[in-house]
Amino acid sequence: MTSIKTYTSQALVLKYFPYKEADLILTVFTKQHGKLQAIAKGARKPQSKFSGHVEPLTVINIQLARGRSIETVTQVQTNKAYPTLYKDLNKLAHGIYISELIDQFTPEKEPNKQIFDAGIDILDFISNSPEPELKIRNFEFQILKFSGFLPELFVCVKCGQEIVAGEHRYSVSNGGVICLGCSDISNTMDMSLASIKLLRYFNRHSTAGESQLRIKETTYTEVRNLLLETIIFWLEKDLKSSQFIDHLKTIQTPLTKL
Amino acid sequence: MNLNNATNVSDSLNSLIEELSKLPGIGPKTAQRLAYYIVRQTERENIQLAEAISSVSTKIIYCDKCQNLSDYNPCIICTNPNRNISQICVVEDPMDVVAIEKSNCFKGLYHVLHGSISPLNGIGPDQLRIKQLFQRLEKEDISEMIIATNPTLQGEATALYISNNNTKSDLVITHLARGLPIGGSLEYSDDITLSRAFQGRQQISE
Ligand SMILES: [Zn+2]
Ligand SMILES: [Zn+2]
Repeated sequence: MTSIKTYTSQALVLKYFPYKEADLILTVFTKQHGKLQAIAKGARKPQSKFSGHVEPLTVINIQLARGRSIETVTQVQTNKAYPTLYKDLNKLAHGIYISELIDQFTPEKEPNKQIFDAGIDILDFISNSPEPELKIRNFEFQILKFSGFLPELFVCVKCGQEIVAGEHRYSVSNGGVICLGCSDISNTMDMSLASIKLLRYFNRHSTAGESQLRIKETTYTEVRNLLLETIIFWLEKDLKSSQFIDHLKTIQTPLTKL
Repeated sequence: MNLNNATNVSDSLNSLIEELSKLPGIGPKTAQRLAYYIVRQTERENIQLAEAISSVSTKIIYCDKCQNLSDYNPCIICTNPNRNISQICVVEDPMDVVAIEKSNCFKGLYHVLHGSISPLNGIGPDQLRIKQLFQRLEKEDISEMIIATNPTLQGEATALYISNNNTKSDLVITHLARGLPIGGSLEYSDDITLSRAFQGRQQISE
């Protein structure tokens, strides 16, 4: 017999799926040990000590016991919950999108404190702000950056020449800005001067102050598409929760126009 | 989890293991154990099992009104004259109807969604029987809708979606109180449950 080795970490619950009669298999992104799968035994019983603490988008202190293929949850304490996310479908959908981004970008058992802190930061913001969209775009930029996919914003990704303001496009597959001489229209995306400035701003400011920025709707849309295409390129797939956000937009538009 | 450790002996056994492991809560090892058990049963027992499985997909139907599984359409709850037709209780699964019926605390009608909104699994409102619910609200004489989805992220998303998109103006929408579980203690309850317990507090009757 070997003694059970346990360890603790702060963690964000990303998702779970039911297992057997009453268990849950959690995917948690821990600050100290990276993303892990862990079984929470009996967690689906209402009287379980885990119940309510392991819902997605909850920041917890988790104690885990090492297992052969999967860790076992031995204790959980809620560190921070987001009741306001659970009261507003739009906020909730954005929160789910954040958890999906983190889940998709982080490999198992590789700690990434920058992504962890940025993740908590954006959830705080979504929870408190009426218009979190721009900051969510910044989070997308940060998760690309902290995962090693920082888009090049200063020199042409093909010829290496410094980019002249206003004379640039964006190449998803080459990973950043491309000069007009090197780009061909069919394989690259439009990129305005305002867009390149906004992305450079994201690069300098991982957290503060987007709400004070004045961004034109067209710039926002362009940056949103550039980031989305970049994310899909690196993940090699679409994000399911962004489809849900789009669905909510289609049904909410007529209501707000009334 | 994969089936790499499954048997290489027989294709038919492998396909049985594969089918069984698609069932909820059945991992590859359990599937293997069940498959070996089935192999050792008599042929007659196995035919009975196969027939029971195939008859649920031919005999069990969905009630056109409440969408619950039933042998009859409309089901016996929807046709029961003693039920209160002005109240409708919205649940995720048929098993929830069974649980509420057992508790004997609700005498209205049900509506079964057959799941909950799960963006991460690509399950949106269109994959659930939400459209049918809104059609019922239009047609039937319902004055109160009790949303009894699970107190989970998916259940909450579903509840919010339904109440946000309701267009029936004179409808009272209620939500099951998210209180503390019986047997649970305040000390161990999580923040969301506690904040809901405060919201759902009730006057103690004299
Ligand atoms: Zn170039
Ligand atoms: Zn019925």
